[in-house]
Amino acid sequence: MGFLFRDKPQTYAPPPTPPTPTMLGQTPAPTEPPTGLESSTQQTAPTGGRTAVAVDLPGRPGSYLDSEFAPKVDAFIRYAREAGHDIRFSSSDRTQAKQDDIRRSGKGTTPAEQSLHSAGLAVDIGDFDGFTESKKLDIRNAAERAGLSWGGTFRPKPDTMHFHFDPIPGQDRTDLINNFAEQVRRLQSRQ
Amino acid sequence: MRSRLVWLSGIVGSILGATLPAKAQLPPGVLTVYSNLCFNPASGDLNGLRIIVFRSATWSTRESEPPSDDTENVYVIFQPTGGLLAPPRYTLAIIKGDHFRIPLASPDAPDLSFIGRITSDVIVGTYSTNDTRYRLKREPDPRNKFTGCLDTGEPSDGRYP
Repeated sequence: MGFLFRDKPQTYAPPPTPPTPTMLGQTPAPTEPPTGLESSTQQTAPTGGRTAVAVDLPGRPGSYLDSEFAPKVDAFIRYAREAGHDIRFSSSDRTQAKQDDIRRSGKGTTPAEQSLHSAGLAVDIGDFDGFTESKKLDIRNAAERAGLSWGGTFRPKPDTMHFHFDPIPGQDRTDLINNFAEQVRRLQSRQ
Repeated sequence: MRSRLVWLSGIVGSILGATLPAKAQLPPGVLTVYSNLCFNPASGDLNGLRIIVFRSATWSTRESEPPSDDTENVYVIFQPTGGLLAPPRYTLAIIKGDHFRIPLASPDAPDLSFIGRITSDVIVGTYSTNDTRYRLKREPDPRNKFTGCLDTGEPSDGRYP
């Protein structure tokens, strides 16, 4: 347990548990680097609990993802490819520092405070809204097979381009987000 | 009798509407911003579209015709979202009356376009590939700050918090 969570351990997501076999076969262990993502920049920052992983996502090179989420995204890409679709991501991690930079620059701000993007646990497919219904369905199925949830079920406003994994549904994500930002900072300081 | 009059007036109205020149349907400004961009509080993403209509009255290089009420070239800057604002596309729109088509072809989607109807106050359209409907209101004071999304998919009333 890192020092960030000493005072509020009840809000911290537990370290990833070993994956359980599914109908799709064994999913990669969280500590393993993703297999299908570009691996040239893969690094992890093992500090106990959840870690961050540097990956080159299609369309988003130089991204950082939660170490439990990254293999799921890898599987998502693979399953989509099996269905005949090469997906590209328009957005992945957005640390608070990145949000602040966007806000200060005037480039366009989203007042995100509890976003799973800030914890490296969400990705967006920007072209999704222009896909055919059958392609949308294929990609949603690929995400579901990979263990991801779809933002199209959000209420009041569905977010159809958004795919995520929430390890602490319904709970405050502040510590999750702070931990991820710290993990990313450590990775960046090594590079 | 009354229903016949209503029916007749509808026919006359649609004929008149179909023959109005393009400039009667388009906004009068050189640049007009239409948008339904809003912040989705559940995901932390920016959702929606922004279309900037640019009335430039240029000659059409393909047809070599001077611009007129019937042959005005209208360009658009088409900007979707992908979590944040996505790179905009700049293209010549095809407009007849209040109907428009914005070609968005790419190697992955050679037939993709955005089609619908435009008035000075609103754009209503869909991608050619599916039936999801977008309603973009004219933004009289556009800025890169966004309010939350309503369940209708439109921005909430509170502007630029």
